[in-house]
Amino acid sequence: MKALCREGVNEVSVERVPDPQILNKQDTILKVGLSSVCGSDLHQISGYIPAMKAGDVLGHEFMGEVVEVGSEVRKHNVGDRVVVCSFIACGRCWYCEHELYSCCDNSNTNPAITETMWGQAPGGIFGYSHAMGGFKGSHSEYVRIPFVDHTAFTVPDGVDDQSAVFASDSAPTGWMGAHLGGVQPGDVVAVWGCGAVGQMAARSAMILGAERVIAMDRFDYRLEMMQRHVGAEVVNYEKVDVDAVLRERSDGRGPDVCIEAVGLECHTPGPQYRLEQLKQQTRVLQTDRGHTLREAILACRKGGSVFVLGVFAGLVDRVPMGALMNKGLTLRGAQQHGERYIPMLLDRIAAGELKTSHLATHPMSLEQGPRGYDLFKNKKENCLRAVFGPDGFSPNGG
Amino acid sequence: MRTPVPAGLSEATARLLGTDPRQAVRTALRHSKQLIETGEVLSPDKPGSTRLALTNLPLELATRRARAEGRL
Repeated sequence: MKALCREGVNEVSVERVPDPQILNKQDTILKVGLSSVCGSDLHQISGYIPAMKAGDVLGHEFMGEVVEVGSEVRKHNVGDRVVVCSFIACGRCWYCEHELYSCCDNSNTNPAITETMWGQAPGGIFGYSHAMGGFKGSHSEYVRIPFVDHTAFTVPDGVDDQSAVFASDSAPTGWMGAHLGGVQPGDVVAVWGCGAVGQMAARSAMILGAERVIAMDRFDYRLEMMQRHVGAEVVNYEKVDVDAVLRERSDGRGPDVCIEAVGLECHTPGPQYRLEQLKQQTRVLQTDRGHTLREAILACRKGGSVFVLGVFAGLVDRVPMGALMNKGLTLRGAQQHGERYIPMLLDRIAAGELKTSHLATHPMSLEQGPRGYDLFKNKKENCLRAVFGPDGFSPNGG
Repeated sequence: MRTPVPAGLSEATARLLGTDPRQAVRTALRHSKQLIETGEVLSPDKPGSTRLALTNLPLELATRRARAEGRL
């Protein structure tokens, strides 16, 4: 079958790879309908997550049709239209029972790498390096879905493919940031990053009752999308003093909840950016750039909450622990616990409460994958997300 | 399991060769937990799509014993 593979640093291409097979009784094979790029793919393509091999299939945000089921699959049948959570969850370990699905104990088939790096291994994820299980990604014609009864969700009839695909990762990630960040009615919420996850986090904060949501980016088209489709206030951080603006809009206190939705390749305004990049290139002084994280910690009101949605892999230099401790902040982060939120989000999408289809700015075929990543990575043609359809692109399915 | 636990250079060699008895224990513990909790042992994706390349070798070595190593 055809698949979009990472071949080397900043090199992707469409290749022929072996078809997936049912390997466990709780597996299915999915015919991919739509599969979206994600900012975290870029960390792997760029080599910042150093556990990718040449030939690995990319992609973890996807939906499609079940075409084959294992003998122990109970909830899904051939022909079901499903959206698949990017994180694979067994649904029965201690972490899954506590709704911390991305921490699943049983879905990462390579636990030693992350146990050694981080103390414990998070769950497995599609197309997301061998540190996270080495599962083939969704930028392909077919993909194997382990533990499908817990990992995939039937898409309601009223939700088209182009909306449903973002219930796989962007929407639940954003929702989790607002929910576990502790957004309460009346809160002022600041969101760093106006990509798909940032937009979903901002919209989720609004649904949870935030009085003001202020989102930051440096690309005008992303700010404009955030304003138009989500309704958040926007700030171009290259043109204003972010800290001053956030204080001014929160009665001088700072935001109640700060959501970082950028991650380890964040940009820093001014000449410090080169220094941040240089330190990162050493892989010793730091592996991840932390400007947005630092800014969120410093901007947050005393006793507030900082939630890290952007992906970090290793070490960040100069994290202001003094501010964190002395201001009494709560710092929390997570890969997404999508299984906890996806059914509820699909209902909200069906009800028109949560809009996601606008995120797919560049629908294209799988063969156009290398171009899609070029547009996405380099912010060309106002690209927010390139979405691939192995059978071409049809937002309504079929 | 009555085999003496290797140490020093012999430990490094045993871990590389996959003969360190602690590796067998870790693998067995992980498999048992999965069987008890989910009813089966999750198989890695195969056949894989990665190709033979020098740059793949270090990671290949790390993943070959990935269920046998770690902090468990």
